[in-house]
Amino acid sequence: MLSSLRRARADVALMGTVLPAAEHLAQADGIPEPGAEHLLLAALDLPDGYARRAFSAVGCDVTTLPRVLRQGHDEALRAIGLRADDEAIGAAMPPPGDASGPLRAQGSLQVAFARAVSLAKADGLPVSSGHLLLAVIEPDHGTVVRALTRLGIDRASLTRETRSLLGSS
Amino acid sequence: MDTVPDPSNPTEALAAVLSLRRLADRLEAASVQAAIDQGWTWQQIAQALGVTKQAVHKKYAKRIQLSTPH
Repeated sequence: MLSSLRRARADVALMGTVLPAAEHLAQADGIPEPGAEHLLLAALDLPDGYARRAFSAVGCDVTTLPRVLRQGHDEALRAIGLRADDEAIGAAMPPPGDASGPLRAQGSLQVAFARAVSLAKADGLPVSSGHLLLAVIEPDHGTVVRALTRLGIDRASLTRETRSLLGSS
Repeated sequence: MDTVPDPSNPTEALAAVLSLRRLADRLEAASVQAAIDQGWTWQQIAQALGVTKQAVHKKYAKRIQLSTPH
């Protein structure tokens, strides 16, 4: 009982850190609602380091991820004959505002976070960046999986490395 | 390709929808900042976006850097 209470407290603390961070990243990107890609980037900055180490284990430099995610959007637009001056738009973007907190989480971020909680519960562990990573790379479609493909990262390997670091099955 | 992708190819079409939405959001945020910089009122921005003044103010007032008081 105490263990589950401690876990719940740790989960709430993590929510209070990672969700506002994801929202901040989204706003800096000009997006009103953060999505799974922002949750992934926010998870990489969590002090537990699981997500970051998992990417290293598959030979990926995580500093390239924001650029690769942007390139995925550019590529999707180019496929319909549209070229946007993303840099000019980015330069004119207002600064991010204050995060509204966990309760506003919705869309792909909400789905991914709920999935991470469920994975952590199954492991009997507090939610960590490793569980967040597992959750955001699980869907077969979307911005994150397209970025992994661009980076040549095998999702199964990344999942395996993450689980190995977490000591989960 | 110069046309919107065939909806029967959902992988490409839905990726384009997501990226178009992202582009629209980014362009809106940057343009609202530019409009404020150029002296537009919240009312004028709301009219241009086809939304209420309250809606646009709620969305951007805490983020937009005001160059002149409104």
